[in-house]
Amino acid sequence: MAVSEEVLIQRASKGDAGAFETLVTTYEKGVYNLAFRLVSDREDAMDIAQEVFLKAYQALPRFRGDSRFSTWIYRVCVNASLDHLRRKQRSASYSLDEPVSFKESSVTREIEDDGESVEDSVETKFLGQAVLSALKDLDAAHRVIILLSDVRGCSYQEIADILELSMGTVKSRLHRARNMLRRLLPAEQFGASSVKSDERRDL
Amino acid sequence: MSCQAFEEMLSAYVDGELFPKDKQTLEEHLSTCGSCQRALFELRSLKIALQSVPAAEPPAELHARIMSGLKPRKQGVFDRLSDRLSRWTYRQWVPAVAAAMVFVIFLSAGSGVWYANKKQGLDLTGRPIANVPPDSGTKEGAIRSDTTKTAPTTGTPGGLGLAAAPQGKGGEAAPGVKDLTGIAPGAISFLDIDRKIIRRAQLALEVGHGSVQRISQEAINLVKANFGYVESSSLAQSDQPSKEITSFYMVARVPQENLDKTIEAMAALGKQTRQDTSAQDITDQYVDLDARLRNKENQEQRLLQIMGQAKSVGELLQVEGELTRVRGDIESMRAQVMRYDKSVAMSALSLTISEEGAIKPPSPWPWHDVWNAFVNAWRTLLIFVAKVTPALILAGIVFTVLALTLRKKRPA
Repeated sequence: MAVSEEVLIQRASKGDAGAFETLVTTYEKGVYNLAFRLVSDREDAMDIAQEVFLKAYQALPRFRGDSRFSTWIYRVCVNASLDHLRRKQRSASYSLDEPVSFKESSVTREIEDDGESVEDSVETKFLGQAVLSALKDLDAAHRVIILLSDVRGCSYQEIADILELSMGTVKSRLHRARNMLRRLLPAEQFGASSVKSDERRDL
Repeated sequence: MSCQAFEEMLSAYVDGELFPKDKQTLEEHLSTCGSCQRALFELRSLKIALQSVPAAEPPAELHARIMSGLKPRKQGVFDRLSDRLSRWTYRQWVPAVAAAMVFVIFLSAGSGVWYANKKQGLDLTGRPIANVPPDSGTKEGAIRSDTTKTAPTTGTPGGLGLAAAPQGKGGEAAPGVKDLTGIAPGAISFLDIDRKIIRRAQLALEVGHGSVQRISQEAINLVKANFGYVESSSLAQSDQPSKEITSFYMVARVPQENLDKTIEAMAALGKQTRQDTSAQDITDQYVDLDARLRNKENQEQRLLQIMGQAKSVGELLQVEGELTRVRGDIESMRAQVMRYDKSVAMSALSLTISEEGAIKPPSPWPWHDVWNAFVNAWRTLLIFVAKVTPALILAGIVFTVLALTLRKKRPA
């Protein structure tokens, strides 16, 4: 990128739509993914992503730059997603959202759609899928921290900034989340699998 | 250190977030502890599995949706309003636009009436814009200071014409009253009587701020210069410090032939906001009164003759009693004639001087004007609608076509 993010933010806050579009291009995939993994619905994730960028655009003049833009926008995204989940829970539209099979199939399709994943070992794909579906059984607070740490690859410090938690809390919560997730997964899938050490996905 | 304590460090170790000191201790432990090694392997596998999960490819329309969803930055309420409006379909637009049109028509009709009336010096209800009436100087909290010293006492400061007749011989205070009438009571012949007309005038002036006192003095001087006199006057001032409004009111008497001249001169003192003149023909009453008076005078003469021929004290007393009654009647009739003469000779001129922009008298009902304006606006609206019906029909057709096109563009 020829122009630094700082300059882009400055321009966008002054109303430069092009500069903001560059920011959108940079972050839309990450924001959409985080929302999607949290709410498990493509439509909802799109709505959330749209809302996040709208909010970001509106609030940009107030963005002081005392945290990184990425931290800021992921915080907005996490909050919007958690709000969405809370609202959904309150309206108790479980019967409508119930077709879990649909969700799973949609997840599967995404993995298959991804060109790169074809290169991955069958085990990894299988394991990744299993882990993902297990992740859905975790409560939102623990799901978020695993998503940020392992799927997004954030450092503890970044997680602490995004979730507005202390480093100690991040450490202990992540530990707890991993243990919970491990217990949700069938033991045999871990014991025998020779997992290919894959490079971290660029989200 | 127990395995439990080490296990808690494993997660951070996998993430590479462990302090170097702890890392060394943990690695030493791992080389000897099989269960911790297994736990580390599981955690690593888990992390790698999660890292291997490919990013979900966002739907192709996401970017366009985000960009088209952006709105210019606006503040709070307005932002929410425009957000709401953007979600409206023709179902909401049709009644909204219709309502807006009615509102605009209503508003323009109302303001049109108001503007047209203003040009003609009328208010919204079509009445003349009222100026300060003589007694409005005494508002709530106003200090009223009567200065009637310049006038012969009458007791009725607002009184005009006959009601303001001077008591007894008070009329003499006016220089030359008798000379000007030219009619000595009792000496007028029936044919001598010309038209007897009482003229009255009311004048209202607006003057610049702070000059009420000066102008009122000039007005009094004008009255005197025209051989008139001030019957009563009053000065009122508001005690509000912000809007100091003083107003002056007086009733003056000027010779009838000087009335027009005086009004003219007074009108030049300030901005004239009102001038009413009236004339009352009292010829009939005057003639009637004169006839009855002469009748009584004849009776008096006869009674005097009878008294001279009286034969006894009883008769004398009887006639004298009758004579006293008749003379009483004559006196009161002569006083009446004098009053008439004075009213005819000296016209009542009332003058109000107020500061420009003085508070208008409040309407009897606060919503009176609003209601009248409302009624007026509707009346005008009806006329307006009748005139623009062809244009409205055309607009309706255009709008329907537009609404249908919009509906087609928005499936579901």
